[in-house]
Amino acid sequence: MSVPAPIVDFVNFLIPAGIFAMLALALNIQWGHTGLFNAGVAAFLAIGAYMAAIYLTPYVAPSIVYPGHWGYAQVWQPWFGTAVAFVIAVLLSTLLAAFVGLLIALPILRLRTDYFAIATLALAEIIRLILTNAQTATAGTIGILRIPGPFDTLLPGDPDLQAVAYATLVIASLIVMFWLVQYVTRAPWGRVLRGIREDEEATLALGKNVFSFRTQAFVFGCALMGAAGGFLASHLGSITPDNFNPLATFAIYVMVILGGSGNNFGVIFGAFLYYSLDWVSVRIDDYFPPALAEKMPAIRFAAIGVILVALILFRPEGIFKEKKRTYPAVTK
Amino acid sequence: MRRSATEEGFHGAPKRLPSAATPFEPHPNKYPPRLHLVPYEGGGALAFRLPLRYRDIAIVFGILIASIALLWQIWGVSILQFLINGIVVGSIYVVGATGLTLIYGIRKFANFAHGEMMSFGTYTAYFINGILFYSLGWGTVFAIVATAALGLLMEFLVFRRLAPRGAVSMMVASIGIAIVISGFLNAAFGTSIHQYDVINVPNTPILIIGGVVVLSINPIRGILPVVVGVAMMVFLHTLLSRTTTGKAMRATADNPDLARASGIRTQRIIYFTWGLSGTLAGVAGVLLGLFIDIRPGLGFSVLLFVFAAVIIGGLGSPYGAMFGGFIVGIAQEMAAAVLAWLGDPEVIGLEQPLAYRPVAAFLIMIIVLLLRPGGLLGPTPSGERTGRRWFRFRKPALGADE
Repeated sequence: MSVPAPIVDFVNFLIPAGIFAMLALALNIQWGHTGLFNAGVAAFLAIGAYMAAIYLTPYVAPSIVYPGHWGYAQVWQPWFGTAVAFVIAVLLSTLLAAFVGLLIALPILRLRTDYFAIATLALAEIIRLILTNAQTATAGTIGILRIPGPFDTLLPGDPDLQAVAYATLVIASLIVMFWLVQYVTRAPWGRVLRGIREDEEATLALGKNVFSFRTQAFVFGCALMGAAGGFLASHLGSITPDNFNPLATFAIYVMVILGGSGNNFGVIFGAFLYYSLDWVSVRIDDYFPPALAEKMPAIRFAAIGVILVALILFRPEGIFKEKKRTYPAVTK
Repeated sequence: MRRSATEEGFHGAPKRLPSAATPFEPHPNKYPPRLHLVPYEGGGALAFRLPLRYRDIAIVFGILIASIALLWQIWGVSILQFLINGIVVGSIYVVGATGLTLIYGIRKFANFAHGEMMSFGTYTAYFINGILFYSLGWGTVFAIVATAALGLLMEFLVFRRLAPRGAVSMMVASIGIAIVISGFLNAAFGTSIHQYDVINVPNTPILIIGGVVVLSINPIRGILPVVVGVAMMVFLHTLLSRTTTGKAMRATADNPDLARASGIRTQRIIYFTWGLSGTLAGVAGVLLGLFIDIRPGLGFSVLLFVFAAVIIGGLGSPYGAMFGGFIVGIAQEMAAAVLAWLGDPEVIGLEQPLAYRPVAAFLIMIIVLLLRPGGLLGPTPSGERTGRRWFRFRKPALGADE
């Protein structure tokens, strides 16, 4: 069975866009609802991606041409195929990212917004340093290669069909995540988070343990970022530390602010819109003269910044405004 | 009864005389004591009878000297080479950090674009020096002018409008500006690594033992940054403490509304501060290009160390930034010795140990953030407690802390 080319194209757009939407959703819990400026999104994405990659690939011994990396495929290969292994890998990614998030949160979550941003940015740099330099574990700058997708054993030998199935899986997971985030942020729990964002001291005065709620929101967001990392590793097929530079973090911020921070549907829309703009701009490179085309990555890079500044200046609430919910007065 | 002239107040009104019941107190603001001893309420083992900031600085210097002494015992005198490198790197960080902290003081946000402002200075000097083949001195002049103009432009186009909306908006916008500048530099100069067109001078030996050079410093890559760094510190100190503009800057940083009410044109002072910050960023950028090399992302890679320096000293405090810059530079270079030891297969066998030098700077930053959220030289009046106690045995009453 062969899949028509336009559908393959569309599906290859849908997978990364869906993963970015997951990240935007995760960041929306931290930044949109709670007001935590996490400048280390890329770090948690990297933790998830490397965890999944190490679980899904076999161990490679160091050699002259390749520094080698850890791998656990030998452990699961006799028992089940890549589909089950992928589910376990994503769960492991989620747990590890949440655990690291918790470790980070305990010391630095009491800090003010700007200090918190700098501390998380420093954390992201430390994680990138480790991934680059712990070469026998992560293969250094060459990165982990040939990461299997979830449908490699179910649909062997047909990469197009695998992509279609993977896109379906990504979108289904995105819908589940959206439902989950929507549920928890509409619940009283989410109301407390927004209270913390608007006025921390008032929330404290209402008897809420602000630090505990912030930790929960941060760890929840980090867990979703780790899961997105797991999906990303399988999508890319090979990952290097350079995939997780600080720009990745700020691209997610552009998506969240573009769609409307605080609005769960809005940030998903923002992620899809941003990624489709990026997709189109990459595709139209071929129509430019070569002298300009080789400058295009830098220009695209600058365009991200221009969009971010313009949004902050002229439409800080984004495309979809956060709904201001009013609650009926409590009466006897 | 006739009083002496000294006992009489204005127009002969009786002046309150100092007595045992009302002890004589000088006017609080006229001659603030540089170092007055504060009883440390609560006592305890760590009850130094010193204001906290002096105690903190004493502790930091103590740790620094103790660790140098310890490393000297293990490695011998060659450890001082790391100290020399640290002072060189530190003086570059000082120039970058003072520019960053001035903006924090007056605009109250963390300017993430400062690293790219430094890059902008580096590349402007490279354009003059490496492409048009003028001397690096002209390159520095143009870098200063261009970076100062960039700072003014940022304030004019973006931060002037965002100021009423708060620090977080300005911080996000500064990230956006950093990305724009970085993309512009990449598009204009490509992604390859360049060097300034300066003569290569051999290292000057400082200490020679048995015909082997143990300690050395490069006149251009080593002595020049230190000289420029010290000159910038003296310039900034003179500006802030001896000129009316500096006084106006401090007043605006302290309380903009009050400064405006006293007749200071605060918006002008803010523009001036952006220009000054840009100047310092331009100088720091040229020094960075000289000391490391000219590559894309240079400013951003240094930004975190500059932030670490500023946070250690206290956001908004120029003298704190000077102190923090040297601490970060020295810690980062001295860490190389410790990391090389950790890289020994018999100890931990850390791979690529020297690549982890930045972690030392971040570690110090996090420790300072946890123990003294306001930094070691935070912007509080002299002699006051600047942070929380190191050990708390009992929860303080509500509102006692911060």
